[in-house]
Amino acid sequence: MAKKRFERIVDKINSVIDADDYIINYSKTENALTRIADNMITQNVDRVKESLSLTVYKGKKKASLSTSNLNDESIESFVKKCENVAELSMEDKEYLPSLSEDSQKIDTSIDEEILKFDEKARSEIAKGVIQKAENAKVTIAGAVSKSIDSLGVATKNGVFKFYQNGRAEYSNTIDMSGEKGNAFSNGFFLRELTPEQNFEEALNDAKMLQNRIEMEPGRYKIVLSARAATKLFVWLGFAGLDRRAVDEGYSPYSGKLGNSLFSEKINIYTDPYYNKMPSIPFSTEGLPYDRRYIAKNGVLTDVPCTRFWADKNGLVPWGVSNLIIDGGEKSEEELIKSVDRGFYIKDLWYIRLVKMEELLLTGMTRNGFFYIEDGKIKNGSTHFRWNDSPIRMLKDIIELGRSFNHVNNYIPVSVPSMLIDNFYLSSKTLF
Amino acid sequence: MKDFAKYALEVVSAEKVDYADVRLRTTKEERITTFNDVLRGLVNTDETGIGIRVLVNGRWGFAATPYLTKDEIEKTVKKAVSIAKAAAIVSQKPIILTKDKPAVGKFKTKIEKDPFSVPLPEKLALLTEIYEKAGKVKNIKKVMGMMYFKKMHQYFLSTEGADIENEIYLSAASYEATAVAKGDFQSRMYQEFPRSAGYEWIEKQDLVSHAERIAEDANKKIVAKKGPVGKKDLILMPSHIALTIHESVGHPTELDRVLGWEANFAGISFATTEKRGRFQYASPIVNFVADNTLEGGLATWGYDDDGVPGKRWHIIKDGVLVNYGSTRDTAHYIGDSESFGCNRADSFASQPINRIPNLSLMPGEKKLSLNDLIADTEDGILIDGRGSFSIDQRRYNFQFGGDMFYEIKNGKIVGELRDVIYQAITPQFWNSCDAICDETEWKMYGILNCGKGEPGQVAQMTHGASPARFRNIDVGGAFNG
Repeated sequence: MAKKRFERIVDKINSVIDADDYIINYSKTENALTRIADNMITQNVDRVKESLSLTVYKGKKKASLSTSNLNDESIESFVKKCENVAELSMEDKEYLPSLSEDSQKIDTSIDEEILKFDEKARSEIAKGVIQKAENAKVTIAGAVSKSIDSLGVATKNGVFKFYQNGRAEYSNTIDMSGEKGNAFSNGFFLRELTPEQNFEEALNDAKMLQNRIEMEPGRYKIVLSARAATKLFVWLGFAGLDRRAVDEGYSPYSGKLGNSLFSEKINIYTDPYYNKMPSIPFSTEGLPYDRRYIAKNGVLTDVPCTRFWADKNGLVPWGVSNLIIDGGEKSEEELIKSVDRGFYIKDLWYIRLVKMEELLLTGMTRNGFFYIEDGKIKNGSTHFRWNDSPIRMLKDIIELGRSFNHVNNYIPVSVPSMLIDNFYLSSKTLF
Repeated sequence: MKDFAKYALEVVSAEKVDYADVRLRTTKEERITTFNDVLRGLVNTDETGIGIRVLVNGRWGFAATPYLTKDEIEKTVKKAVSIAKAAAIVSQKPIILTKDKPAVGKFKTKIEKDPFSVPLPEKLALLTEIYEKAGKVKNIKKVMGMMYFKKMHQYFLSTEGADIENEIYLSAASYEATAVAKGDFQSRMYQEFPRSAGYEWIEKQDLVSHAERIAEDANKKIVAKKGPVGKKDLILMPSHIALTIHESVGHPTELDRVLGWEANFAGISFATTEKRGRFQYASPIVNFVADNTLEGGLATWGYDDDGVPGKRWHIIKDGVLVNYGSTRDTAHYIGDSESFGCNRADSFASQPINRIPNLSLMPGEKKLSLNDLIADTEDGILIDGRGSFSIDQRRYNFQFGGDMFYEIKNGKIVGELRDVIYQAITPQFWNSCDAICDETEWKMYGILNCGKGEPGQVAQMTHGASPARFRNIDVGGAFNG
């Protein structure tokens, strides 16, 4: 449906446009979500958003306009408006002609079960977990959702690409006497949602956190769960990761290309065709994405590069579609066995950049957070603020465990659990 | 256009609903971004759609569509009702709305110059001129410019008889210069000063006149002394403290968060309901006033998305927590019969949620200028502008950076610092406030990207303040590992 609609829009634009060059971007999101808190459904939505963006060039003068009004008449006046704005605009000094057809093969299949996943099915899940919460005398908050995303790009010079994916997500936080555990599952197949398992895991963490012990800040050995690691290492997918910034000296990777930046265990790459976590296989300009390494055996091999910078410097243009860090075979329980004194971090929160020069990040531990002694979880711990750099962490990594795929709608990430040395837990909080 | 909203209300009224409202919203945006003298982005968006919210047997259902036809509106109403009914299979507490009087009225932001009627070349020339001034300063490799304008028009109709039209404008501009030298790089921003206003707000700021200073500041940061580690007195400028207010007072007093409705995502709050009227949140000189009638305030919408008119009320009075920001579906939990009007949606396609209002630190009552405050500070740091920010899920432990830092010794600024980060626990921090400058130093700053909710929504609000001093705050811990 969405592909046909995109084709019609492209045909219409091609028939009325007079610009010297142009790029058409189409986006449709169908999103439905049921939200739970305090053992009741607090929010329940089903929404459709659709938009068309048109970037036109009159000579090298550029403008991009976007509209949600996509009937034929509106598109015609929209194109004219876009051309008029471009006439008033300034020259794009980084202009390159739009891309042409490249025969890229794109999979647009969506799990039928996700398409059928409606409000009744979401309510059944909500009913099940709320009932479990009431039976266990705990409070549940959570969300269960599905999204169908459609993206299209077409250019004057012949690109026509369309991509769709459907994903489902479930997450819950269980509160037992003020202590909280969290777990979530997601995927491109409905069968990847595991609400009951996530409920039990979060409940178990909340139980284990009863009577937490106040611990002291410092540098510790940590086991970072794969789920928590996806939230932290997604930062490697965008912060400072631009070839021009590297070349001009304002990236944490400046002067480090070709150097051993990480432990030799570390491979970092993007791959839209990665079978466990496929992602958008082209840029908004229509540039095809493929597997590209950022780091191989610990060496910083390459960073993404815009078409303009690549053209100017004889480089290959490419971008990040998803971010994958290769993992190992060990479970988190096995990694814990290697820790004499440290922490098991199951969730992280409010991660922000502190200092770009070294990619220093800060954040908090959240939900499941446990003190380890002699290879065993000894007790739940009070929470900490942390300050550390993912570059430093991957340099001092001791071991990698199994991976978790987090299919968020920003940069999907596949990251393993990790045993990291000298993680800096910098200050306490009051709980 | 209003006919579509009326039709939706007519269709939903024929369903067996306890309550329903219809929001027909058009949002226009213009975002211009430059990288040095290159136009990186010129994006104009125009979005229209209808969102229908129903309450059936104590359960919300919300559906939204961008397709404005009678058929599609009927389908969307049926979807909203079906969603609410599907939730009825779960035995649970009902959603209860306060009995606010249904409002009938119009509101429009006061503007002198519609930003969408200002010729594009004028805006581009301004950003180019900023680059020319900042870019010629030594070591400056990058100057990023930004302008953002928004116009939102909405009809709100409800089955209770509310009939509201509002038209809201937002204008913002900012830029950042980055210096590269001595194997290092540092940036300095002329920060977002968004206002609910027209293009006159951009003209009033005289953006170009600051460009060289901003670029020179970036250079000063390269050679500045590193910030200390230990306890320091801090003087926080309004441009900086706006974000501290937002994170450590605004979010903790959102009533939905206090009730645990954000426990799975944005977190909860230490400012729990039994503390209302009792908890010494801050020192007695500290007063926080929420004001959704504030002229130029980004949350000044006339009416919120429950149809409740903008109000002004104390959140913290003489340092004591006295109130929250509430919505019609949360206010009854604290025994209030009316909402404070904090329910806002970021789009026609979003179900409105409890948002921070315009929330400001009131100026000190005693006459006190910034110069007086600096002169009265023996050993401290003055922080200007926003930087890094993070806070825990109960809103206790926070850590903030800034954009520019000045060392104060014996009542005088003696030089610039870099890499300054402070960390504190919210009530301890606000109770350490011992001086707030008077109203002559009071300024409003805006937040453009306040993220919250599942699915995620983005809201804007204003935080005003005068420079304020905080005693014995931990600095530098982030770098002290």
